Amino acid sequence: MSTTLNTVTEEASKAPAILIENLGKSFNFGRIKVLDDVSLRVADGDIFALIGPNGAGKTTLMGCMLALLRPSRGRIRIFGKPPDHIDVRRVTGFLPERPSFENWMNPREFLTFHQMLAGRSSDQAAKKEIDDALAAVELENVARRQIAKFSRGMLQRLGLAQVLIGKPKLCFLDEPTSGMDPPGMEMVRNILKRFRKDGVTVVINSHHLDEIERVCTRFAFIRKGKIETEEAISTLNRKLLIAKWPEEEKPDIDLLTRVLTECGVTLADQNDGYAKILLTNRHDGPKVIERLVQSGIRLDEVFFDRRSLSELFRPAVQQQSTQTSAAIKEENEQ
Amino acid sequence: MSIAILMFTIRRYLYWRTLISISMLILGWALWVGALLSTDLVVTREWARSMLFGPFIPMCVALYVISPQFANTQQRKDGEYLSLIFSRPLPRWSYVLSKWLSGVIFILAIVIIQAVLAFALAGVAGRQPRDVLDCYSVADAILNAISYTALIVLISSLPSPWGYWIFAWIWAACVLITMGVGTMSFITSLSVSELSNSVVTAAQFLFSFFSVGIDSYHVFKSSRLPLIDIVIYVSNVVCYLTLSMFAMNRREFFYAND
Repeated sequence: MSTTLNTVTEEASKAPAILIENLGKSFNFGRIKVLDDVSLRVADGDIFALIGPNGAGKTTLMGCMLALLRPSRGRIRIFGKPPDHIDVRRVTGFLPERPSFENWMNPREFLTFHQMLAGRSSDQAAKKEIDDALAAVELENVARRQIAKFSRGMLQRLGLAQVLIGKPKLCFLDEPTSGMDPPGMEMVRNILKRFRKDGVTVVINSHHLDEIERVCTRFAFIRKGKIETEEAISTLNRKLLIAKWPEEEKPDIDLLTRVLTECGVTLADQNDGYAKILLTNRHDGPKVIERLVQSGIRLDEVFFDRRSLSELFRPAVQQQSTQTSAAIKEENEQ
Repeated sequence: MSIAILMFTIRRYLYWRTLISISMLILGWALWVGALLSTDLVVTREWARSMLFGPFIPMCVALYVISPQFANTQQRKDGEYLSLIFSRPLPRWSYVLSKWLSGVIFILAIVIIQAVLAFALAGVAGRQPRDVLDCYSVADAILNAISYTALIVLISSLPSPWGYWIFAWIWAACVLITMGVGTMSFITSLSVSELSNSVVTAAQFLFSFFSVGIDSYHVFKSSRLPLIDIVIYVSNVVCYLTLSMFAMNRREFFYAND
């Protein structure tokens, strides 16, 4: 197995960890299109986040990457190989959003089961691996307790411990902090930091945008099955333009909104002293400033500010979620 | 073949809830058989073969222990159980074969318990044990178990709604036809012996559509080897297992649930 691991990781140095080309996925014989022409490249060692509103296609995309769903069209390569290749599975860890466990097992039995499935031998090193995994998720004190007696947060921790089994080079985590208390979230953050340090590639699907911003290196925003934005977390800087005006010369807000709309940017917020302008591209800044000045708006000071993922995408996520809820409600009423 | 799946599936059978459910099933069967044996029923080899080691218990047990959709040992019904398993380097054919083998092993244990109980019941009812039990009946039970388990593996390899519906239809058809035959026999005033034989024959006839058994007495005692019977039996098992692997390979285990 070590040969396989080496082969896969050697190839990883040449190819991106994940390469997705023109992926499409439909259900119900093409009637429900969930993913539409998705292309993505995740570099080896990236902590990559998939964000987007409910029903955007994040989980489906992850399912395709894990070869648990069959794409309707397009191509996926994991370390240069198809996602259902046995060598890929040997280096993959996965935490589903709603993991289900056997009631009768205890954590140690459960991890042993997954260790055997991962093809690891049951020697002292394997036993240590289980101890380490349990310690990493702070479940070592309940290692012999029946899973049936576990709380939701403890089950989530156990699911995470299972991901650590088999020393994965690529991890897929679907809502890893779901049902966890603040210490649990801190623990997930630490595990992700460890992954980052060890060069493990991680794909996370989460709604906790603040958490993602703290630990991830790149993100993709998905809406209605399409990737709208894909960039590094570090480029979140300089996408928010703060324009301040003199106190006594507050501009006409209608005019300001109209000019910004013409420039293709959004007025994110405004008060008596300033406006926050959300740029699509940071290079749009000078053009926007020029147009504002041309339209007679006097500006005292203009500077770029950092904007968090939450500020950038929460409105889009909430809007889509409201639409989805309304659609479900309408469907139920019919 | 996956040792992990085989080992842990067999280990799961020893979970107290599974054991209690199966014990209740066997107890019900023993009471029924005991009651029948205490009447004037003439025990034929056919009757013993169908009633004592018929498909009912292996069918229920196989369904109960093999299928993750039907097994009640999981922590949550709506959770992702198989997707987690198939994210590991486990070929789906290996999963199917391991489940089948573990089911066969477990049902063999049930058959042995049934044989012991049948032996004891015959003694309690004042009959000669050899009247109700012979090695051919036990051999048939084992061969049937192999075949039924393959059928159940196929049903459990189908996506949940299909698996449930197919099982529900088989079950409903068996109950309705058996009850129908029983009622008709009662109306026409048959004796207990004839009534019991009619019901058994009806159930046997119906099961023969879904799962092909083999009569080991016929195989060993006939002057020529009944090759056709053997080929039909083996191809039936192979067919179910092949279809199971195909269904499992085509099956999708993940869905948008956020």
